[in-house]
Amino acid sequence: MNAPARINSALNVRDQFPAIENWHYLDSAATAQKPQAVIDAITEAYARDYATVHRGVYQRSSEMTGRYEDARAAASGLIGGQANEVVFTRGATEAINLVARSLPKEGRTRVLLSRLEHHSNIVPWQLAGYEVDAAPLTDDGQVNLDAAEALLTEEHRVVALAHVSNVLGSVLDAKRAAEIAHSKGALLLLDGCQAVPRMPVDVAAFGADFYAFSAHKLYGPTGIGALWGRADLLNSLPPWQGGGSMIDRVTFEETTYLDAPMRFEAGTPHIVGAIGLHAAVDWIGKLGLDAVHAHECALVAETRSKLSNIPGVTLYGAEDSAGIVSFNVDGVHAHDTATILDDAGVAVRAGTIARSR
Amino acid sequence: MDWLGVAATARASFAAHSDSSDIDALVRGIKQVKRIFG
Repeated sequence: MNAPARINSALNVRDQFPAIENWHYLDSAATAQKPQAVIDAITEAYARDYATVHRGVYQRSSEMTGRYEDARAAASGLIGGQANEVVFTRGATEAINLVARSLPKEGRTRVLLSRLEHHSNIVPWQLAGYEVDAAPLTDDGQVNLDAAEALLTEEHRVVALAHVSNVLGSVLDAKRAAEIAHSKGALLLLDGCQAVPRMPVDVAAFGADFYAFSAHKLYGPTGIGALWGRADLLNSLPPWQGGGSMIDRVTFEETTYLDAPMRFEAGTPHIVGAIGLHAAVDWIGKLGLDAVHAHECALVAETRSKLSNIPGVTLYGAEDSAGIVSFNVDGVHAHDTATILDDAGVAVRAGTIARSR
Repeated sequence: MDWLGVAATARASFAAHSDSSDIDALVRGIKQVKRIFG
């Protein structure tokens, strides 16, 4: 990789982030700081334009409904989907829970994950009563898809994998993962939390069945995210939460439900969250995800080069990790490293991933 | 991370606003870690 020796803010957006003045924030994989454009969109939506959606007969509610649905189209468009293929959720965690709880098992009782999955892509499947298998990793921290293929059986309902690992930044070969899943009649769910802010995504090109992401890792607000699913698949799923906004007709004897995505959005939704997410999608769209990806790859290359020159520092993961570098200082617990770095004005995460049995 | 034989790792993750000044600060901080624990 021919990374330049210095990356002098090639994207030139640092001054758009009021929260990181005089702070070296290196924990964007946990949550992204917010550009002023997103903060302004949220403020204006509450201060000037606020009204409910889908029910009001007055003008402002009608306008807000239009903006809420525009946000849905933008969120879906970001990953190559159609407008009616995105369900707004509280985040990727709720999106995965929705699939785990709502998808009929059809006699299949297992799911295949990998050893680098976030807890949010393990526990929902356990709670939904699935037996969980975990594919091993290669030496440099990629999901070993050959091993995954060998583990997959016709008892598996879903293959659920991180598109980009939150620990190692490993990038999954999503197209091959889809081919493997479908070869045994399983569905592919991708956890896109770390991919969506870092690289262009095209669910149709991958052949994915479900894709989940959170707005707050994409420079948007907390409390909102998206579940993308193929329209026919979403419409085949039963509701999972009941309430207003998701029903067609209610009597005490029988209730009928709206089609997806509204079927899965019971209650008044996170209206301003959707507008904030839309602002974030527009913001990163203007930068261009190809440019963001190149910028972060260059930063990773520079970091790996500089840290590998410090004796006693161990680096994990692949050289071409997307935007994430995990490391240890030999003999020092990661929490102590992170605490001392904090004193130096540098925010990093110290943590673990799920242990295998 | 028991597949790597370690209990925990430190993680630096980047964003669109990150630049070389962040990496330089990280390197200075790690050298400070080594001084304290060295």
